[in-house]
Amino acid sequence: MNQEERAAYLVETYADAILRLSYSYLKNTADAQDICQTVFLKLLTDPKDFESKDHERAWILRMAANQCKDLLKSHWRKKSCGLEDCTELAAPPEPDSPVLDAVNELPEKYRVVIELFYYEGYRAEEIANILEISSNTVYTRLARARKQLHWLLKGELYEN
Amino acid sequence: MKTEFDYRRAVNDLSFSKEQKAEMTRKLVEAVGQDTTSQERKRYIHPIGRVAILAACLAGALAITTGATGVLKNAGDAFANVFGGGAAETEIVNRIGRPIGASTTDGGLTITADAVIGDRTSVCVVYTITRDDGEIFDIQGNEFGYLPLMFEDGDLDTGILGGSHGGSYFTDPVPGDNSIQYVQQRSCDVPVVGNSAKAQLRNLWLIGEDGKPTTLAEGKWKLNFELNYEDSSMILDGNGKTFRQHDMTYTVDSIQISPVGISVSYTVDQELVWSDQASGQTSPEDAESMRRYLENVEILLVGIDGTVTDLSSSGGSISPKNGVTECTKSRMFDSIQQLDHIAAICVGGVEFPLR
Repeated sequence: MNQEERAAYLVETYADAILRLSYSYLKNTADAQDICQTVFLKLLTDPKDFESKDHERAWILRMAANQCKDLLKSHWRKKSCGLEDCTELAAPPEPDSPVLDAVNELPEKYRVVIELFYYEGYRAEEIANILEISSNTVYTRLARARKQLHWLLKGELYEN
Repeated sequence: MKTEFDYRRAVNDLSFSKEQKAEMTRKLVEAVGQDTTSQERKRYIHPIGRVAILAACLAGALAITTGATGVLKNAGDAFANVFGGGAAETEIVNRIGRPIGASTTDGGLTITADAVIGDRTSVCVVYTITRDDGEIFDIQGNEFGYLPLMFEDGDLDTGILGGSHGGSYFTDPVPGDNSIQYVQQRSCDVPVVGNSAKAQLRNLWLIGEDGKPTTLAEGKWKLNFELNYEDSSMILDGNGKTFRQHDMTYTVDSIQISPVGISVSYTVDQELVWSDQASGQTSPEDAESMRRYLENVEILLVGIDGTVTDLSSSGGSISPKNGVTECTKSRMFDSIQQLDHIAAICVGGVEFPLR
């Protein structure tokens, strides 16, 4: 696979997943798009061998999660860069959804496990591996997220 | 479950269009360049759109960036001051080592994990520590070139469930500039290659002549990277060979050797019983036990030219269980070893030829 094929494969296979996970952290699609590009650039310039597609996906999502966490801590992100005019790639529009708005009210650590569990369909053990936390922590965060969503959505309840 | 369905449907709308994906692919290829074999491919030549501007802003803050010059150091250059050696050794380091290039900045220092090398159970990471104000590190090293520095917390989590030992040190390969080098080495009881590692460093201390520390830089530096070096370990079976000392029989289980380290596993036919000592100093009885089970086990590296290197002062582990004691002695070499220059490894006087 040459570089172009590799880039196309990565974008086609993982761009949307990274966008969704990064959006869970960052709550805006422009920053989430940047995370996509940074992760892919890293993979293309420093290729890694993976044992399986599952291993590849989990590793890529973990890298994206770590990038998001660093961006959240970054001093520069807190400043206004005024970069909207400079963006060459338009970011995807943010969905208009009361449920998503409610999820976005949750703390970042709950939003992320909700996305990985309910959308990506990962088990708690797999989420623990991606986020480098314990399975117990995943279960706790899911339980607390559901409880908070119950109040935010006024009676609509996620079931186990 | 209406809510879960609504959530999935909303998140489903969060996706790139075909045109956006095609444009992203085009930009990525442009950024990386078409030459798949050139080292230049690692250079961040054409940043993509907004990422370029953000990258300039965030340089040093993101966990994964290139080094200060924008170019990843190759492993040979990064480890030159650690292992020394000539062209043959540098070629080995470049083959099995991997550049990292992860940086983080806090407290006026930028710490970059430059490269990693290791084998099945040992790992060595080399870092560059740079003063952001551009001033020099005016610190004198001892007669071995080691600087009197340490991190208040200098943890390297290698992602294992098991024990490890090792050390770290600081040197100044290029005195008179604003950078110094930090090296961490770990030898583990279980395989470590392929894991994800986390270095968590906190507060850089200068150790005075009186042995007391003063804080040189206050900060927390966290770096994540993969232990993705090439594992070129060679495993020799013990074949049931034994030796006797201290009225005990030691059975060599296996020997693992690589260009960067050695690990010898053996089983002693008596189960060590530790003294019932409260936490604190090791009792004289336990110190004697450690000498008998571990420290007095001789390990020699015999070269094809007849030279002998004594590796007996290696750290390790002792695990008493089920009437016996399983032990491992392991260490990283001070210099790169060319395995085809090694004739044999002798453990407790028993010879194990490499071929």
